[in-house]
Amino acid sequence: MMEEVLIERRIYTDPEIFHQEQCRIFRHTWQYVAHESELKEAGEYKVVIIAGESYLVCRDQDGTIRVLQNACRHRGATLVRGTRGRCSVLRCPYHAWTYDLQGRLIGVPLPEGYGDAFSREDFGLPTVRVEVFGGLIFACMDEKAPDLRTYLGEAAPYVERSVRGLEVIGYNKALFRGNWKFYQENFGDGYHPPFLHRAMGPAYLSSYHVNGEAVDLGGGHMLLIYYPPRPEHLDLSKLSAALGIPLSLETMWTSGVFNPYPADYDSVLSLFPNTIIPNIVAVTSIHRLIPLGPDRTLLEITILGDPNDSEEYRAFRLRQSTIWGPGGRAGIDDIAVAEKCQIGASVAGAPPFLMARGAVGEERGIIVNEYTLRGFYREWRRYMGWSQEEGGHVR
Amino acid sequence: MSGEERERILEQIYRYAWLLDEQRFEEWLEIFAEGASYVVTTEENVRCGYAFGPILERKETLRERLAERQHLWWVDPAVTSRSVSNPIVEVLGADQAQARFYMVLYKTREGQVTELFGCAKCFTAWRKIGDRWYIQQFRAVLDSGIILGVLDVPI
Repeated sequence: MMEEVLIERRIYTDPEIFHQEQCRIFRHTWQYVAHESELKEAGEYKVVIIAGESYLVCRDQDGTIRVLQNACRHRGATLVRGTRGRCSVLRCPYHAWTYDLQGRLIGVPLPEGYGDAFSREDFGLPTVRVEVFGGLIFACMDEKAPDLRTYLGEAAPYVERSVRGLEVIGYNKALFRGNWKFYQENFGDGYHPPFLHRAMGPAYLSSYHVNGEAVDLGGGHMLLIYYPPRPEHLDLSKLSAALGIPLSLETMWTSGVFNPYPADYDSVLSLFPNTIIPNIVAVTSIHRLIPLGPDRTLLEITILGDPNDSEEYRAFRLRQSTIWGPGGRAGIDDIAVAEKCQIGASVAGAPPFLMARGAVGEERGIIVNEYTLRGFYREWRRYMGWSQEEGGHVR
Repeated sequence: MSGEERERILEQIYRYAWLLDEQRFEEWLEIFAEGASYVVTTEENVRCGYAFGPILERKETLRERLAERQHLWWVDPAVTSRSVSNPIVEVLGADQAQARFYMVLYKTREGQVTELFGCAKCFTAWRKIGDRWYIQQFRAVLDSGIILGVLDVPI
């Protein structure tokens, strides 16, 4: 088959490939790490994992956001209590080596023991590049990587549209037994919703899938656009029959299946490699995937809200935001299927997966496409330094 | 009198756990008053002052979710068991009470070993209608902000 795209299963299961991903992808790409509203005051910090390593995102005394390695230069002990908080300095609990919030070593007990050649300037905390876009804080460990705006490329306007003016209003996290790429792929895959998310309402979803587009934004970034159905196009009797319970339009609103606050379009934006920003049914969240192993992933969902939300709208937003994550109407399906795919991927010697929908023409196309996923894997392969023949065949 | 009422509420709490364990969801729903709220959140959200929780439902929408659950055939079957401990029941009047208790939830997916799935502090408000106590508000605060896999059954 000329146009086929085959993905070898071992990219989801092989510990060596997982290690390569940490070194070649996660150490060289811009990673979303926090939202500005989580660090409103000087001294506030949050612990994050980047490429398997512990970092502190903090706002220093001058208001600048910094990302510092969360490990004392002396013996490597982590420097803060818990995962978030506020402090004026970073003091190691072990021997009280003390750093300011810019990462400079400012205090060493009994320094004379190190001799005259010892200089505190040589023992600051390693930092990584930080840039903020639309309130989202990104970090990058690669000094030679392009700036964030260049990295985001065509995805930038969609990031801005999704998150502009919002702040954090909640967290939703899950640990699942699956490779991180299965979840990332899932949000660039417009083919699955009418089938996997049947519980949410086949009528609603089937009307969705014919009114959308899948867009390869380049750089491995993926975009799904949905044009929500109008109430007059919603077949409630079909949906009620499918669920076995009577549903009114009001129920659809309160259950969050139908949007009483329609926008021009809904979108699911996936930023390479591990961040997803669904902006669906009037609510926005940020999904960050933290790979813990080939078959273990921590999913951190940050729920965003507008500080100017009315009480009614905030209630709707909170309720609808439960759609994702471990207890969510759609989230349960997405996590469960990532775990199922992981089991299937573990079959040694089995033929590769097919990712060929819509391969003819490779144009921005209807949403039931795999065109976006091929864009993701082209970028994945580029960072990994793999040839076309390795690990699969990308046209 | 209030001692008797406390006993009756305690019995409802234990019944709550058994009905969920046995997946008798319709009977479980009948422990809730009409319009009752059902919230599962996490200690992290509470600590940060966020009203968000992974599950924010009312009795009516819980009924819909349980109907939807029939379609989750791709979520592997599991036995769930709940252990309720440390209950404190306070009867506040003839028809109002509040109770808090600790819930430990175990999950055993088919073909797998039993896992400790979650621990939650549960805060409940009760209303007496006729001669029976109903939950008016249920709020479970999970100790961990990270849920193992999917939360496909009520706490």
